[in-house]
Amino acid sequence: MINQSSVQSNTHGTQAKSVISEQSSALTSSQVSPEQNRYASILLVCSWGGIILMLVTFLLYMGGLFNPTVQPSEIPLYWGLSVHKYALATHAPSGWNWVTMINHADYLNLIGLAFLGSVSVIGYISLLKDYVHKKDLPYVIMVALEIIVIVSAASGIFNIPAGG
Amino acid sequence: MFENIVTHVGTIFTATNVAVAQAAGTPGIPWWVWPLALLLTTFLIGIVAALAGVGGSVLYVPIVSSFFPFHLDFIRGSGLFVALACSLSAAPKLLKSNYASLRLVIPLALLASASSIGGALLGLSLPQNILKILLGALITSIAILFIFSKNSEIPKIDQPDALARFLNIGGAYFESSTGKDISWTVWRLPQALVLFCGIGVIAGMFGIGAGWANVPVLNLLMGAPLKIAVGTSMSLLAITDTSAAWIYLNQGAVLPIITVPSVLGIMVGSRIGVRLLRTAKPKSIRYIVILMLLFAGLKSLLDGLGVKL
Repeated sequence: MINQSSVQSNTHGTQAKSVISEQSSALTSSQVSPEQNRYASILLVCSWGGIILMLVTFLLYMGGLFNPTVQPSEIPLYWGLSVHKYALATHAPSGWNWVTMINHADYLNLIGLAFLGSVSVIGYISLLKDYVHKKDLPYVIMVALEIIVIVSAASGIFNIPAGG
Repeated sequence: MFENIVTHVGTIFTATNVAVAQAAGTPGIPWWVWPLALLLTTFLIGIVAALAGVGGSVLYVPIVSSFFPFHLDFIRGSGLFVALACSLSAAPKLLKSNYASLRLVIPLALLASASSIGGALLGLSLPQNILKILLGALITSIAILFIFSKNSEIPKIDQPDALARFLNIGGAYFESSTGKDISWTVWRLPQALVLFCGIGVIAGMFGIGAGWANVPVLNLLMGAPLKIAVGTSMSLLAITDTSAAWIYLNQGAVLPIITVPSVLGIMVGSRIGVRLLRTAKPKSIRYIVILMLLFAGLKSLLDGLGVKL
């Protein structure tokens, strides 16, 4: 049973040892699997890319460049409103319609954030390729389903009507 | 010296929040004060969160909603991006060090991320006062959980369940304190999958990440070693919060003027907090966090009930 207060050293309890001995040798090596390593590298590069993009576009917005639809100085009039009232008051677009407005600095900002929201999918596509190659069917299915879940969320099909 | 730093962080944090709370009720404050105050507050949250070993967004949402004039919709949207950015910046190192296991992350993340969509939709549909009551009750419960939960460094487990065996979940990591590899596996995966559905709903609904719930489930229920539980939880957040973050983004509930300073402040603060951790492990900071959570939770509860402090 789980001993919530136990703190073991590298010498495991006999139960744990017997369990572990049944695992494959791959599981007893602290070497990182190639697919996990690749996934981590993708997260690292893409997340920093997203954060830098977010920072640059935010500085443009704060500098008053690219003609924001709502000036930073006017935002305090609206940020206390609910998202539905905010959308009505500022004529903010819903779903992906903001993409058509990226010539305005406040929507240009969303590119970096949207990119951060896409990083996991990029990593999962790499994983899907690796698991297909390894013919690891359960993980192929789960990774494919996860991509579908995130892409569905990103697609805007789950939308709450104003006042909802 | 270290204790002095911690004390100063706590003092600055309290002073900042008091100043912000006073400013929130004062008209005529220049607009740029808010993003700057948010940057400073989230920077301090990042330090405190890293020192206390908690996720930044579990402090971010209740504290910012207590002291800043932003609507809860925008704070929750930002909270998810805060959790997402922190997770994305920490996960690569954890995965490359084998402190996180993708074979464990993938099944749990699938259910948590799918259910976080439902949580986000629910959260965006409920009135603010109801959400504040629920948030207050949740944050107060998390504070109590922090008081009573005792994680286990390397839990003893029985046989892994059939599903964990089928998915071949397990691994090994290098324990620097002993210089040896520690092998691990998990059990009770089906029960954990059910719990992760609930965790996903809560994460999406309140925008508070889910490390506070992930770690106890991974460590105490599933029997993953604490280091694996923390690393896997951090890697899970990058996926769980992504689905919910997209719902908030598509709904227009992500205002860059709130989100960007928050993400930057917490990321920089948590990096400094991690560096301070190398010097010492102050238990006192954990009690400060518990007090902050209790205060913010009760304030949110009272705000939701219409009681002004």
